[in-house]
Amino acid sequence: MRQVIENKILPKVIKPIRYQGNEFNSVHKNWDQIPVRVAFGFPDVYEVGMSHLGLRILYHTVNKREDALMERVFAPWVDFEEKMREYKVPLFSLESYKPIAEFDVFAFTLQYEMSFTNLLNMLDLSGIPIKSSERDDKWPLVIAGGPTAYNPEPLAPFIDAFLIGEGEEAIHEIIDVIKQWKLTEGVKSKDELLKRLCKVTGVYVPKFYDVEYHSDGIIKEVISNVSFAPKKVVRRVIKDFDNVDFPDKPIVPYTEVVHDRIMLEVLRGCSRGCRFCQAGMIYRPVREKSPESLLKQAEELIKNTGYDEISLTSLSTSDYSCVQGVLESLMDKHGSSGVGVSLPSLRADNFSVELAKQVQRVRKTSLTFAPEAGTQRLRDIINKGVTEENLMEAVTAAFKAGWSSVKLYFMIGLPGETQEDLDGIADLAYKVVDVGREIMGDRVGRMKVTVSASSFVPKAHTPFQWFPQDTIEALKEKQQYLARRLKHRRIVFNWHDAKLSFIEAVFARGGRKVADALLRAWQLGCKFDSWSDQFKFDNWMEAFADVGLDPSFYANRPFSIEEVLPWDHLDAGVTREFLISEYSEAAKEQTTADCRFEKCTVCGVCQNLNVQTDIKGGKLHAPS
Amino acid sequence: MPRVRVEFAKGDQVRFLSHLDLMKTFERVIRRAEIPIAFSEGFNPHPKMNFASALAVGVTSDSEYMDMELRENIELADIIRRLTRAVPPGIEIKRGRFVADNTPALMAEVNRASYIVLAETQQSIDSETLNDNVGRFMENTEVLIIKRTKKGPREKNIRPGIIHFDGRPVGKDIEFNVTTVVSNEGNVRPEEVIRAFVTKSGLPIDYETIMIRRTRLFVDKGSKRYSPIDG
Ligand code: SF4
Repeated sequence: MRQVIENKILPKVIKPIRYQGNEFNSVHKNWDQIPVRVAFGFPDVYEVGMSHLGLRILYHTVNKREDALMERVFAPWVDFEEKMREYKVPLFSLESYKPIAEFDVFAFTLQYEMSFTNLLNMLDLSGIPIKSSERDDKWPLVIAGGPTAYNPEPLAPFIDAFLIGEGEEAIHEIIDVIKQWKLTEGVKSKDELLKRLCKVTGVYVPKFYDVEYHSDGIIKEVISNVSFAPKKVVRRVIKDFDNVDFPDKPIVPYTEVVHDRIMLEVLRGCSRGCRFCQAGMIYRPVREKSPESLLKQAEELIKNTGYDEISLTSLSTSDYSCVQGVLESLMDKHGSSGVGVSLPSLRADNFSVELAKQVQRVRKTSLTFAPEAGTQRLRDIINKGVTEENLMEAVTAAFKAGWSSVKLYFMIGLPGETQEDLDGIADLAYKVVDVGREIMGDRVGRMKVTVSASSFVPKAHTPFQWFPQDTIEALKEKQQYLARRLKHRRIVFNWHDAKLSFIEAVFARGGRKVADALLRAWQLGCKFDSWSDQFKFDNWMEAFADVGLDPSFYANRPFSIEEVLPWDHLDAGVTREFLISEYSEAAKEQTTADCRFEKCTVCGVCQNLNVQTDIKGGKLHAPS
Repeated sequence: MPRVRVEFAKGDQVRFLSHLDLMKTFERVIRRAEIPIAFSEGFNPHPKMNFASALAVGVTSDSEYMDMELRENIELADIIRRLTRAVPPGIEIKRGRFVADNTPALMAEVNRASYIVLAETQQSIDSETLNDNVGRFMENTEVLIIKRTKKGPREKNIRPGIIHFDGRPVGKDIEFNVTTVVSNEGNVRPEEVIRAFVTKSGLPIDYETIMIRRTRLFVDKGSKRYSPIDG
């Protein structure tokens, strides 16, 4: 098989390096001597998947074990897929070039809804039956995790088991169970394995739950149909984040990937509490790494990879309490050998610009800020703790420090949005242009203000989960309005495809029933939906029609506070009461403070999951 | 500043690296190996290293060359040892030597490349037929191919850039030996030669899935030929 791939297929496809493997630090184990073999599937191309920190963490964590191996597989690009089907080559892992069907486990990470069709396609390319119910005991166990697994229902018929929450510790327990099960005498049934797996905290086995509906299609009840499955599946969370396993020898890709640098995770979680943001709910509480751990890890990573850039990653790196000190130490220590530091996620304020100033060694390209909404009223509704003053100070500082372009991220279609808020976006953009013009003087010709407008997608486990998405028409109208208002030589306006956001919303809030539409869409040729040149909206609409579903029921309908949501049997830590209270605070245009700086707002995570906010550089806020 | 020249092989495991990928890989190899390489001045300092000739995606090579400028002295054996530890599987560090300051850059010096090309046939070809066709092909003073360039398709005569060309049947395959010019004045790639040969001769050879291995890069000064590592 390898010969056919290398000699017949790879010479004829674009970017053959995507399928070559053999990267420095990739792990090649002796297949025959390892009891548990896991294929990690990333449902997008190599360059995207290799930029994903979660993959790197789990790859390292599993391969450290002597009794398990993990190999990688990415979604083959369409040209490669065509050749695979022509030559009848099944999907294979990059490390050993083994067919995926020969592994014990096929584990997917779910980073965005619009990768679901790729997941189905990867099962199909592996020769594995797509539906869980059609796979007998000889097929690999198919599992999935990642943020999008917090509403797993659209994938329920295809995935045997989901892991809800953080994987570093749970993956060990899962592998232990599989190993034990493989050692049992006699016929090994998958049902027995699933029964054992659902005892691992965080594991959700959809077939052990039945969904009942009211006549209007709204869920009546989700109940476990076996005695041993938990009523509610509680998410996993790492308590001692500072000491959790972190890859010290990450794979160094040969070809440029999206994040082609050392990714050093400085903290996990964010409690700023933006009400639309799923990451801000499901990764709570905030847990920081100590500067000592980070400096040690950085040193190892530079030595083991040869990268010349370290990115301090997290949901919001300027919130890291020790960021200043860590930055300085890193630059002192490694600056002379040509290693730079970068900060990918910054708040829109002065402090963040100060930080950015310190790390920008090279050309000052562009700084990105995300005010998200155009007026203070709407920013209060979404609980985005950024004021116009913050933003203006930040862009002033940025222009003064030599940046000539800034990017501003907004969201349209947010709950409570009015015409004024759209105008507010345009007004803010023009104010930024004015500031820039004043500071840059005759260099103003080089100034660029990029305004990006994404569309609000309601997500599970957020205070805004009950809110509908605007219709495609409404979103398009708003985009066109902004496009007209933002016609200016110094402004670039871009927006997201409203049709794509609509499909995303269907799967973000859809229950088990939308699985049929997903399967149908894949059969109609949908894949790589997040690649604009591959997205086939008409096929999606055809799929919904074919299976008799109204997609707007999921995307555009306000969910009632009383109704059972498709993910209500999953406990993300954050309580329903907290989400409802945030929902009503939004209606009152009231903000909620960050528990790191004020008191605990009792979101439920620390109380329910027995964890604590862990801030290394300041006082620790005990939950009340 | 001391300058060191290193000979390395690009094997099967890294066949699909582009030249850019290979350069980036060496940047990282050098950092992992903690080689005290010199950096260029200016806004965006980059390590001072140079390669002899770009190697296409899919092509392996027995001998490639790279020059590094160092900011401090370090023993040759040490360099080789450290690099060897730091390279990914498929890249092999073979040997090295210090070169004088006034040695011309590799790019300027190296002007010939030899390849072994393995091609599959749709039906076997005997050596006589093959030799006849090769002979006739080489008698041409002009072999025109269409090259796609940034400015659109262009005609190019590759014959002057073909220094040597022969072939022999090996089972069902044909093994070609090709030596071409590599320099700014006319790079000829082995796949161009094979394609032109197959098109002209009409022989049933599959020129799309050929395996190319570069066996040698060298300097041809008319009177003498030498490898850049021997000087
Ligand atoms: S329980 Fe309190 S301290 Fe913990 S994350 Fe929630 S609000 Fe913050």
